This record gives sequence, C-alpha cells and structure tokens, in this order.
Amino acid sequence: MSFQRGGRRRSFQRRPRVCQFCVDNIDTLDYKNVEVLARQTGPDGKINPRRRTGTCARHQRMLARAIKRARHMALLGFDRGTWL
Amino acid sequence: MREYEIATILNTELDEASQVALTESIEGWIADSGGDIARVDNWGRRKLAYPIRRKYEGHYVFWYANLPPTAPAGLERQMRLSEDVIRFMITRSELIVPSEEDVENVESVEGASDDESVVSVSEVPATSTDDVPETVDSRMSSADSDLGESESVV
Repeated sequence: MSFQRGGRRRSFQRRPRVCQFCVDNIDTLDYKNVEVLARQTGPDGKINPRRRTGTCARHQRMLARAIKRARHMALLGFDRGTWL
Repeated sequence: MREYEIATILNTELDEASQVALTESIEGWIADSGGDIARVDNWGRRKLAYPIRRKYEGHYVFWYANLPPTAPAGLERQMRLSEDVIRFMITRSELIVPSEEDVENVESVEGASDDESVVSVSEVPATSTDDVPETVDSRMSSADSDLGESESVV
C-alpha cells in the first residue's frame, strides 16, 4: 500500500470515528490523572490533535485544560513528553 | 462558599519539623480566609517533570476546601510570598474528591513509570473505576503507537 506507481505513497491512517472519552462516559478529566493525560500527548509532549485521535470537541477542551494544568504543576512536561 | 482544590508543590529540602510547620501555616491561611478543609491529599516526594528553581523534585500536597469566593486571591498572595511553596494552583473543583484507591494507584504508577510505553492494564488508574474501562485504554495506546509509525513514513 505504501509503494504505488513508483512513488512512496503517504500511508493513510483511518481516523477513529468515535471519541474514546464519550465511549467511556467520562465527564470530568482530572489534571492529576497523569496516566490518561500522558497518553494524549505525542512523543514531543504536544497534545495530540483531534484529527488524529477522534476526540470530540467537548472532550478535547477538557483534555487540553487538564493537560495544561498538569504541566503547570510539573506533572507533565512542556516538551519531550517525558513524565518522571 | 465554593469548593476549591489547592494544589501545592513544597520544597523538599526542608527538615521534617519545618515541613510540618509549613503545611500547618498553609492550613492556617486557609482557615484565616474563612475556609474549611474537607480533605488533604499528601503525595509526598515526587520527581518534577521539569526543574523549577533548580529543584528536581517536590513535595506535593493537595487540599480540598470550601472557601468564600474572595479567599483565593489572598491565598495566592500568601503562597507567592512563601519561598518554600515552589508552585501552587487553586482551581474550582466540583468536590471531585478522589477516593483512597486513586491515591494509592497514583503512587504505584510513580514507581513503574520509567517505562511509559508499556502501561500494563493493572496499573491503569481508572479514575473512578467506571470512568476508564481498562480494555479501552489498551486499545487507545495501541492506536497511538500505530499513528506514530505512520507519521515517520510521511
């Protein structure tokens, strides 16, 4: 799939259709829950975009706020995504 | 009265006595501002994700308290003046008072977190047990790694 017509094709990653947080029925995201938050950041520590994770707008807002709070309290880094 | 969460990172270089004195004085500030503390959560020493004031670890203490809406401003001023409060944050909380289990989970996670990519299912904190079904977590993390690979191809 990635090799077609002589060129290296951009491989297509299907976007998850549903928001995982909706599926899990989550209505609060605590900034102290580093486990869950760290999973929503890339290897560089950036917050994963919705287009990649399929998170709905409401949960993405909650997530962004929680991650930013966690960063302030040095529970998550601002870069590299390393925590502890 | 509103429910607030007062999060602090305290200096770890203090001796036992001044440590206790510091937490007591913070509790004193909360009481002085007309608040009553519902719950204290003491995480103890924890490595910071990044150094703050050349310190690499901090003593995390969280207070859950009912405060009059005017109180946080004064509390913030007090904490900003204190040298031994490395970092603080006061947030509204809907009294999402975490259960004892959560606290224990967070601690167990600390020990095992040097290899973050392999989060075994048993360590997943599951905020309020029904919040985060474990199976879903593992699915999510695998999805993430797939995406990481595709990124490198691009």
